[in-house]
Amino acid sequence: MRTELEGRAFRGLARTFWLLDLRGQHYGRATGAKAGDLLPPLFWVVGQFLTVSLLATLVLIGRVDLYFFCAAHLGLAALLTFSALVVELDEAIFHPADRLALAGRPVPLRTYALARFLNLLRYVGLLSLALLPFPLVVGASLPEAGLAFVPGFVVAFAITQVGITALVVLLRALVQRKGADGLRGALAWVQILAILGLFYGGQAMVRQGSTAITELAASRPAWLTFTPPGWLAAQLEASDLSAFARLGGALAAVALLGWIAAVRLARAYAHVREGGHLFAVRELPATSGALGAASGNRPARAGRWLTGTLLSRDQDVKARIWPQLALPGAVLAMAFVVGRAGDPWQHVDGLELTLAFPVVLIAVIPHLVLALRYGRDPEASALLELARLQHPAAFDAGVRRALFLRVLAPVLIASAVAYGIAWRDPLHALAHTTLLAALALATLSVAQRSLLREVPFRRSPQRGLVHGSAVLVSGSMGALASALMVGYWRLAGDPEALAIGLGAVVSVALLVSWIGGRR
Amino acid sequence: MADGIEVRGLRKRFGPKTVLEDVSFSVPPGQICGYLGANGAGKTTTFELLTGALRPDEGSIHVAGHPVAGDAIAAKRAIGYVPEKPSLYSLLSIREHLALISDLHGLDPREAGKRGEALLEEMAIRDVANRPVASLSKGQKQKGLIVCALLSDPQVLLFDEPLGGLDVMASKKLRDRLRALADEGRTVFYSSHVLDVVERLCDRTIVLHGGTIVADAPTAELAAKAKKGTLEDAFHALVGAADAD
Repeated sequence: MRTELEGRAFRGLARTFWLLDLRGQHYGRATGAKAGDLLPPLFWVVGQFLTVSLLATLVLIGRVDLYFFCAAHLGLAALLTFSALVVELDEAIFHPADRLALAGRPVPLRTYALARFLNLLRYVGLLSLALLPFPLVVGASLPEAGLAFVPGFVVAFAITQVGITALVVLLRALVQRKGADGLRGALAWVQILAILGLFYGGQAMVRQGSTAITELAASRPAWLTFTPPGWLAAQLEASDLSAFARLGGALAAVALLGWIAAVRLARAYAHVREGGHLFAVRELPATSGALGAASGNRPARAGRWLTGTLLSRDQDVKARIWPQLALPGAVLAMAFVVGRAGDPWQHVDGLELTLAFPVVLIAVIPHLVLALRYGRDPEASALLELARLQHPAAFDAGVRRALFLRVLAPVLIASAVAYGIAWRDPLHALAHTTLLAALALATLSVAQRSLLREVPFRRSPQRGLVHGSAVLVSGSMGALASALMVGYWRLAGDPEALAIGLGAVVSVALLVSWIGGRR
Repeated sequence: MADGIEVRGLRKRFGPKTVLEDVSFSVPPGQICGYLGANGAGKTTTFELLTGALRPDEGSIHVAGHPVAGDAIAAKRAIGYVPEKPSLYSLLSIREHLALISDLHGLDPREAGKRGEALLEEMAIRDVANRPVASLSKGQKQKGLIVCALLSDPQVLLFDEPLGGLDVMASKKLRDRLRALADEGRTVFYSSHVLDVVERLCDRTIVLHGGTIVADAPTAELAAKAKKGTLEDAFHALVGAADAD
């Protein structure tokens, strides 16, 4: 790649992009941090990663050998950096405002591309600063670690970070070309799940003194050595001249991959300069076919499309919706970690967290509905108000469907899969999840009727507001779900009674959902 | 090649739609040229082609003597552009934008600082110049855009709907400023739907319709041809006649 680097322009762009990153990450919107605040939004990202790294170190230290310690930390760094980049990449390298803000300015393309790439590296560097110190310091103090551990681990870490960064850039370029906006949303789940798993799983493991991780490290799975973190850890464990030569070779290989990613980025920028879209342009679903039939009439499609689009694109909406799932996710993770995720159809004991998960999920739904009040461009929703929808109930149904399909359905599917594996009975898992889905639909309808009486995304983002109405609906629905779960528990171990009870509850829940959605 | 703007045989398509077809004109230094057209006529596309944000399918563009296709950076150094859409980073302040533009144009920091402050004062946004753009009013953002466009003291000024959101005083100041710049030998290419402003400000007017030029004449001459003697009347007549054809 020709450099074509103009020093002043490069410095100006690099400074600007850094300022934008400090102020504009979506964590900034979630936390309400503003330009000029003492704690920039990136603080939250770095702080979160620092905490996760510390927690992972606490879980691993004294329980595993050097090999497993290094493999786990490098794997964790790769996973978290991958997920953070997937979620934040648009801000770091593909800021949509660039095309307009820099139009007509004398910015050589390669200067721009290099400034953006530097910004990406700076972002990755910051994440690395949060993920590196604990494993580096603690790893060096492990008995098997030699003098070469520190430089070796730093090189292995650099290989991981550069490799992952290049991979994400290439993947993102591919996704952009295919217009698979949904894939990006799905990948964002990696970050949520990784953090949840570590926070709650690790916490439970430390508290309970579980030996599971020690046993796993002692009987090292064969496949681990074939993964990049496993291979890198093996080089660190060997810690001889040939191992360092292999690390050097790997560093050169990922540097080449980074160069390819930089070239690919420059091409992407050229595409943007030519007026190309950064986001795939989404259209209303077709009026015919399964999708059309599922969406109902046109107002319903409009409601589903608007909500679905903003759920995938508006960082404010995303930041308000996804973190709400942390608690149900944590309960679900804990249920499996501590072994309290029993099958109500077979057992009477060990059901505590199986029954707690629905209650927590139901209690969260009103807050999810409330989050739809806010959007980045509230004035745009005024258009909907002015349009005087002929069938507001149908529009609302579309909004509800979008929230259910895009936010709740993935949670329900994940829980069904997890229960299916843990219970070794997919049918029981399906029945249990059906109950949950029916309750979720009923709660969605009631919450929408109570909390979302206006057009969605109509209000500008605010923070610090506690909506009494949401708390009330959440508490009421949570209490109702608790009562149902108590009934569920009483019928546990009696499949016949459970089937009848389940059928009754699902029927009532669907009826409530239907009535609640009518206006 | 003279300074100013020189456009020859411009053609631009987006997919099957032809937005501009054989558009040719030149605007010499010292002239304010109005560029009129209905919505979708191709005005903003022309501006984006002039700034190098888009590439023409056919034709050539020279700005201040530099070919936009061959030497876009040199051409852009000579341009001060106020786009139709608000195009500032919402999380930066106006002063931070000025620092960025100073770097991009390679201006002397001290001189650029002085000039920037003078422009901020002139447009009455000095007090809000440290606030994030997101917190500014529409008019303040528009003034910020104008200050950014004028910072590098450009040879060619491209103004696409610059009066949006400006108050009466600011509009008057901007018009006076543009006239003064033209008198100093700058080229001003100006698009607006406010036809009485175009009539008063522009020496010459080009009317674009359906991607082609339907009129190119001194503004006074164009207005005089209309029944009521106004540019608005002339515009209606031209665009209506073209539609009838």
